[in-house]
Amino acid sequence: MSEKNKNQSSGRRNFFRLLTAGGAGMILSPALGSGTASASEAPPTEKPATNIQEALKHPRTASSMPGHFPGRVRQVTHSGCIKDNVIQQVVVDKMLTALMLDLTGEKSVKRAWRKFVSPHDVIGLKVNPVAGKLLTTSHELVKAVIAQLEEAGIHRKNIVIWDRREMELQETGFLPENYPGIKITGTEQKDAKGSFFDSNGKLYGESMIDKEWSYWADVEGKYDAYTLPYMVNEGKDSYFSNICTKQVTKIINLPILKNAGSSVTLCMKNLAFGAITNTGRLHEKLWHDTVAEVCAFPPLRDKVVLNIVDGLIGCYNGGPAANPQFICQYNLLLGGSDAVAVDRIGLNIVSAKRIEMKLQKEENASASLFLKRAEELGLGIGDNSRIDLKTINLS
Amino acid sequence: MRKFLFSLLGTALLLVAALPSRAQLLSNELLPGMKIDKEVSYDGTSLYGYIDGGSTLYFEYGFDWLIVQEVSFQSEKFTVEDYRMKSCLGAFGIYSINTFQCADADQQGMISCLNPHQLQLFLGHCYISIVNTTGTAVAGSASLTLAQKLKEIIPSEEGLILPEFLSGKLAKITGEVKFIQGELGLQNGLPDWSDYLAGIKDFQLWIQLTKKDDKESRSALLSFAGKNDLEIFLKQASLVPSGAGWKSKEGQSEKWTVTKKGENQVWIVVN
Repeated sequence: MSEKNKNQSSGRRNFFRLLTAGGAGMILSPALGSGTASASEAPPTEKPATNIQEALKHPRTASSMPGHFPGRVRQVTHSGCIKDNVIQQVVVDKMLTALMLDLTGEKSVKRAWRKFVSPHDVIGLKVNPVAGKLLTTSHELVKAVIAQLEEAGIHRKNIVIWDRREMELQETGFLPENYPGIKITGTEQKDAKGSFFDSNGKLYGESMIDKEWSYWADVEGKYDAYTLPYMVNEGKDSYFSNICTKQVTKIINLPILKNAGSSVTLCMKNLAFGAITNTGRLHEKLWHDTVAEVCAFPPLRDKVVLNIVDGLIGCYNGGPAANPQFICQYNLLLGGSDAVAVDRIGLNIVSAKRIEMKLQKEENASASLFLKRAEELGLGIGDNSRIDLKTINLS
Repeated sequence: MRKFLFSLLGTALLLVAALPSRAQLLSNELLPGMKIDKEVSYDGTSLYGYIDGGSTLYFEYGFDWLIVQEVSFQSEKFTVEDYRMKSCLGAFGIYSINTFQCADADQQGMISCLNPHQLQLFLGHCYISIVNTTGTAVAGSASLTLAQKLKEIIPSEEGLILPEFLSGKLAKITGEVKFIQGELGLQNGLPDWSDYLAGIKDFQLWIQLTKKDDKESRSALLSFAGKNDLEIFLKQASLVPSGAGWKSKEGQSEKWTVTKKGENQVWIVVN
């Protein structure tokens, strides 16, 4: 346990102080109006530059986002998908089948999945275990997807379950014994002894990145020794994981229906922040831009063919972490090839829940900035009026 | 016990606290039958490794370190997250925006929020979350026992002062009082006001939410760091001059009354 930061200054917040003795009930702000400049007194902060133009130089392919069905979103609900807090596998199988058939217009599960993948592909299932056991992509959905991929002729050896952190996959039950024959991997890794470093002192994560692909942004990432293994590298580059650049040929995205503040962390966030390193620097000034722009790079743009949002259990506040009081049963799946359109519908659902629970009165104007940026980049449709949404109630 | 608690608050407005040490953590010897199955710590920005982007909210409030313990107790499994903040104020702020619709609040002399799967606590420099997997009454009761033990082992040396307007008026703290000091705190604790304070980096907001006859009202003390920030806030909240202060424009559903309280500080009432 390191306590090295225990007595560090709390930074610029220090100029605000509360009385701790004498004069109780008043706020003492000894340096208010002096010392540290506030945002309004400082020069206007310009958004840091990024290398998004580099991404746009790469020609689009037939499978580039938004994929086969721009603007098309299917929402499948079933009130019996969870009983006694246990997700019902049989019901989830039916929900997924209904979603796939209606989304594609096909009559069989095999043909529906073959719209997106073939037996020659290596298919990455991008899950989201970051919030731990309480709010991970459900095993029932992942198993339903795998079963239908097999039905479509995909061999288990051609399926990879992946996320940014291998240890979080393990902690949430994405283990070989639960998924025999399927590769499970993450960019950031620990060995059996719990070390992030190999015998040569090199981060395991370093061997998992592809320096040919980088999201550059004019924000310096600088980390202490405890944080670096979770970021893999410092500096202004965020490298793509070689899982998505080299190991897989197609990606099926399986995020969870979660809020992030008054916005959401769904398809694009799961992809963007899950596929690159050195993300700590990107949250403050470039969250919305990163969510959209990283998805415009070919390793994601050209490989993500399908998005299925796990809304069986989700949350409406406290996300992306799991705060039990905000976890709820949405009892639904959302699906589409267009990650932007799916995110738009997901944002509608989460915002409505937040309004119902009196957390806010209307959708926050800034909540959808990432959708607007994604539309500008041609990644999909974020405008409700242009989205073809169909809701299928199974019971 | 509750009466005692709030008489203490009303008199001195002192929420006692202390800088933490490892001796203030749960350990196997503390309660009969309790076992720490696993313990992980996160220091400084390594919190990214635990909750990734969710960590930025904690950084905003002055995060110091976190101990996550997996605990077996009374045939239940618990995850105890002990977030140590650099100040009592930061710990209270995080607690205040993380608690919501508590089934039971501020019981047994603690600043706490109990829901079926979670007990949250504000203790000194700590925001503590105790999560159970079953959501049963037994798990809830065991959570309270763990919380009481934490209260015993976290010493009381340093205080946090609540602002004067909260003095003597509180039926309870949890759910009524929030302390917000940044953009992410606003998004999580008071998203309705996010647009009003957009672009203002340094502010402190104490807000009391009260409900009477199904009607909610808000009283708030808002302090800015910069001279121009008040003007930005007034403009973004669409407030217009009225007498010595400001008010909301005619026709708006919420009635705001804003008066200047001090340099770069205003008192706000919303009905």
